[in-house]
Amino acid sequence: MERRTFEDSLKDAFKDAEATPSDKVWTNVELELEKEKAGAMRRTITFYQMLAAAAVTLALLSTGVAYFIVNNRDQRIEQLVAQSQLRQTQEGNETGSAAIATEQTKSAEPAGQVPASSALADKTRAESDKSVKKSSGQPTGSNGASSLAVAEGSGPGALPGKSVALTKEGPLNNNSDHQEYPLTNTSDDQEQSRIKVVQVRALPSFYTASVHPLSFESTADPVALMMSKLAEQEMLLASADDNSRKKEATQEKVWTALGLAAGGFSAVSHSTAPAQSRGLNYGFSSNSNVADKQSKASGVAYSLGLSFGAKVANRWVVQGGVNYLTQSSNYVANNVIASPDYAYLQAESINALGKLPALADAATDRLAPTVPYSVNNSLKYFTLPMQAGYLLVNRKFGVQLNAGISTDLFLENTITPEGGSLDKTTQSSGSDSPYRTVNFSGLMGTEFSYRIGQRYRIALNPALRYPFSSVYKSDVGIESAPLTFDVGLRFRYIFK
Amino acid sequence: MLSEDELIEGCKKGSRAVQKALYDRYCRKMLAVCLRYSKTTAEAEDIVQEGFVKVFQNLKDFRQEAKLDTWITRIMVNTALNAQRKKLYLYPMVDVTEIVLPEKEVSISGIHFNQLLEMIQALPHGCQVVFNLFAIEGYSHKEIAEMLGISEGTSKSQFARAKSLLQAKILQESTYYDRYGEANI
Repeated sequence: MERRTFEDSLKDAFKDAEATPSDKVWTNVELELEKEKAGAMRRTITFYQMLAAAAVTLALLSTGVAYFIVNNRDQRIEQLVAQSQLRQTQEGNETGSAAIATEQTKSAEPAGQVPASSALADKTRAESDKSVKKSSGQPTGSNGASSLAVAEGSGPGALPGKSVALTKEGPLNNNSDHQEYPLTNTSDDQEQSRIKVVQVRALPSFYTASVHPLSFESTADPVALMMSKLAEQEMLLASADDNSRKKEATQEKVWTALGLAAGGFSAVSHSTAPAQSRGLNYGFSSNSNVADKQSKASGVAYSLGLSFGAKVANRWVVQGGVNYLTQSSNYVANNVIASPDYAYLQAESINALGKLPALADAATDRLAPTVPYSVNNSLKYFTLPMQAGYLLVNRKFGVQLNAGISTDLFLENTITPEGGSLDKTTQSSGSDSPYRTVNFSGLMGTEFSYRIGQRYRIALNPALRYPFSSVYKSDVGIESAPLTFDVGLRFRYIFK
Repeated sequence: MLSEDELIEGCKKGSRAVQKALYDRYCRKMLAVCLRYSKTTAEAEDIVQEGFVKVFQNLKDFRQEAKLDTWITRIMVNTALNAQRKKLYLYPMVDVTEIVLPEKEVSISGIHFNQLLEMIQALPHGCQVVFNLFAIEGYSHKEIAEMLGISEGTSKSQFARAKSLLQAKILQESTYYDRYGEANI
């Protein structure tokens, strides 16, 4: 038989050794896992807060850029139209002076001789008339295209160089829309005229059409006449429709909205100082750090409310309402508060500690240490928000910036220890409550809305809420002003 | 009864019931491991608690190259070592030169498990850790030296001292047993 060493025999002795741990081990493991889960949830909430903030920023930037682009484009169009009108005016002046010059040339020439430029212009006009007659059965013509006829001057009275006659046809291919641009006979003038012609051709017909009012001769084609009248009526109708739509968009004068919001809050401003006892005793003993834990715990916030709004100016609105707000957070306590005979135990909280006897020693005596346990702290408020809003975009899709204040009326605070071994306690407002009965908060947010039909609008509201003073009374010695970020969903009914 | 794979998958999904099942299956064995590295049961339970939290946090990274109980044991030992490091800093291990080993091989037969555990817990901090790692966990002195930041020679001498102390205790217990019988021990 093989001789076993001391180490081997010890190893065997401990190989299948077991010892039963107490129940509190699993309780603590579970508590640690819950805390970790809560931490992960807090990180998730923080992530979504950042995401929402980024989305709001992006939306505001996009709106600004879009507004700038649209505004800039309108200005550019106005500039182009103004330039076009200026050119047309100049062109008209030059045409007038050229016609006068032509008349003078005609009178200076001997009788029986037809000037080359004039003949050419007549010929071109005749050809153009022919083409109009050919296309009289068609509703539209060459869509404002200009034709340029060039002929070499060779007659006895012909002027040196090229003689050019420009015929411009209007959008409806009407005879009366023909314009002739007889040019002077110098080569420089011809070159300048060519440049002008090219400039006129470069402009879309939409801008040049306005300076050529339609005038119909008795010989005009009846179909073309009817089409032009129809087009005119269509433009009038479109303009009226556009006006009515604009009017409709600005008709949202008074509305009501039902909304709910969810988000998170975090105690960004927090401090715990020794109590300045006046009426209540908040002598937090060194054995308890629950005041610190409870007041700086982060959590989730929900609200439900009804609001009313009215438009007070073209882009300004005022809205108010009533809300029911709940802020819920968890903290870990290490003590329980016992009655003198230890028959009644309650969870450690700021409320419960505040009601302990005035002597700090006595308070310490009644704090019984225990295994850590989780406590849910729920605060309920009735809030009256009042906000002013500025409409950045006021169309079917709306963007609005809001800011205002809210009057927060404290309703109650519920302390719910997890596990069920300790009773739930509720603290309402009053002189024995550590919470301020009335507080004021600043509100700031945006609203992205979409109009559905004539009477409804759905809106998404990312918003911030920050109390102007601590939620605890100054007697308590704790400063805590939680910053709340939530995203609300509102259904708006438009009265008129 | 859930299989090892089912336990792992359930814990990865975060099922509290499966986590409890895994804890129930291994907590007794792990407490026995942690008791060897502690002086008291409360201290061992703290290590078990911390160790299981680490197990649940890191189970998603467990690639099943080793058996689950081996992996959990390793986590418990590492957690115990972390807990002991502060004490080892306060009571640094030094080379022990004067070691008197018994002339004959000492047998642990007849010694109850609880007695053995008490003897190990009664060892000085450094000796206790090195003895557990070498004699029961099976690490080499080189590995122990790296784990604890000591020299290989220190590890060997600490082990020799632990063995000497244990053997002396066991001999003493055996003598009592032989002399007075089980009822009086």
